[in-house]
Amino acid sequence: MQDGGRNGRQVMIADVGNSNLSRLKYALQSLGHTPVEASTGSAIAEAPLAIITGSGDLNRSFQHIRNSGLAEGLSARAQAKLPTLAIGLGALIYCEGFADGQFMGAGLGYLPGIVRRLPDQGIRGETLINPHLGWSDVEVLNPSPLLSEGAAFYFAHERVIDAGARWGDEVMAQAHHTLVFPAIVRRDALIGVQFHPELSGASGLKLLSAFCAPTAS
Amino acid sequence: MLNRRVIPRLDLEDGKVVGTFRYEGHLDPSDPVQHARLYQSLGADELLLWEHGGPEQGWTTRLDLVARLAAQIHIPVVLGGAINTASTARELLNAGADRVCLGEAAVERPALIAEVAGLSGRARVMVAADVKRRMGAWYIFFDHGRRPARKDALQWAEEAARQGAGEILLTTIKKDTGSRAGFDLSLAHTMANELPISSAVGGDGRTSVHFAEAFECGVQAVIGGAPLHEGVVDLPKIKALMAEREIPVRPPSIEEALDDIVVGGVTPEAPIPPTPAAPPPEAKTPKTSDADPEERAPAQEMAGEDATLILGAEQTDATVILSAEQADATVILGAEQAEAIAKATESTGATVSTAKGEIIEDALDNLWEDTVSGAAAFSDDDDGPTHADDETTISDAPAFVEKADTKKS
Repeated sequence: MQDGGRNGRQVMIADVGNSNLSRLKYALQSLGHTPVEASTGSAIAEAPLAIITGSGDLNRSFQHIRNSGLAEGLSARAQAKLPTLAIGLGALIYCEGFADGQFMGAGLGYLPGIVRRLPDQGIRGETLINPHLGWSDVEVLNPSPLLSEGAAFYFAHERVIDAGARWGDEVMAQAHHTLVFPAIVRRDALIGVQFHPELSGASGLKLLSAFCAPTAS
Repeated sequence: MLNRRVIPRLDLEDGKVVGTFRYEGHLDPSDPVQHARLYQSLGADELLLWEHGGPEQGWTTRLDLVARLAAQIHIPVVLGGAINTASTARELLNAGADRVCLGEAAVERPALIAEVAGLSGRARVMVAADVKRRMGAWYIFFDHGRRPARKDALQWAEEAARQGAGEILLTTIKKDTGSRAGFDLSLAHTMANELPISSAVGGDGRTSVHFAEAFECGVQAVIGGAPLHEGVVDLPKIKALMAEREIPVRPPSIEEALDDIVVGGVTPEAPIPPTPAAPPPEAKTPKTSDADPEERAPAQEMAGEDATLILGAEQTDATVILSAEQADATVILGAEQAEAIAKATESTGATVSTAKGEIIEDALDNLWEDTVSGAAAFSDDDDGPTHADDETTISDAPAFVEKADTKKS
């Protein structure tokens, strides 16, 4: 679905809970794309290009996507291997499961790993800063057009993906805050990012632009 | 590595920025969006906007301003001041604020923090208080230091962290006489070592060294206020010194920063008067300056005053650029404009430097030179002590690299 002339494309955007859709919307507009807010699961299921974002409480978010039918749409587009960028909590709900101390259960299961809380204490009892807040350097493991080596992105999160034994090709980039964790995970056309590209200045706009480029798969 | 953040703070009254600014005459000094864009282009890591009006003049009556900020700023924006209820906080977070900063209301009633954090996550809640040092402890004050809250700041900070704050900002109020300029390093050190969450300090930072010293105490963020706006201290210089001292800092790149200002195609009206609208697609091919006079109107209009023209990456229309040059405006260019200019000058014989990098950097230099009021603003006060003070960092500040993310409890 092309729109807006030039290389502008229509991008379906969806919020899985309490996120700041307006920033994402404006970032896409400034790149010449046309964001469309999705409200139903079927709209998400079929969009050629979609960005899923969210912040806040994992449990509440999961109830929300189950009750609203968004969950089916999110699963359907992952199964259909449609290009999808999942940001923050949006990426976490796509993982295999949750064990964050408050909420245990299965995730949608299309991205690798279990979601855990960042540790509050180190092994010697020292206090560790949680949430992870600010600009962290992202280390590229598998090169892609999405980012260049040495780029910093804005993170704001309390939970991370524990990729465990799956720490292989599917983890495209990593970051470090109290522990090393996946910053970008990818399976087929589904890309999950732990940081917020819509708040990450030029690096973030470049990532969004690369994701929306017609050549991106 | 988690980079340390330099956060310019803009103080607002009824939606208008108050204070003295080195850029006056170049942009509308009362418009928060223009300041925010300038700081974004200079490499600010985040922006804090504090509204001093009461709830009746507060942020909820200015959602249009929040939307304009959201549309033009691509780094995190924190809104503070007059946020007294969870519903107000939620409204602002939904309208485009990335974080809210709770002040007096969270000192009076820390449970408010939990109400906001429960809904939006701890990462989106900052809390802040002004403090004064008394007998080896810090106490919270309201109303610019006039009204004591009778609360120990660090005890409150710990309570705020328990309630779900993601970051704590304590700002020392300048003492009347005899106090040394700079941040309260003892406070910075204590916060960084005792609080389980990210800490930020504000205060009278007047040199790059002051900022670096505060970061070396372990705080995650330092807030820059009046001295930054007035040009007493300079954001790119702060970051350069941070890098020199091996404080983790987001790499600043002039070109990247300029690319960051993407102007075209955003719905809320671009509010910067001297910025011409993005040229329509068909006008994108570079034109020479003898094009239709109609097309030169935007730049001609701003010729009346000493304008600054900040162009987005897509604005490659050389006509606009060249007429701005003729109008003696300062032009900040991205790489594409530089190329467009190079082409245009070939055909018109105008004298504009054509080397890409030079244009960009020259333009930035010009902006500084033109905008700094008086030589004092860029005096050696900034650079001189930078090196002289190198060794005088407080001795108990821990080695930076080891301190990266951990601290002793």
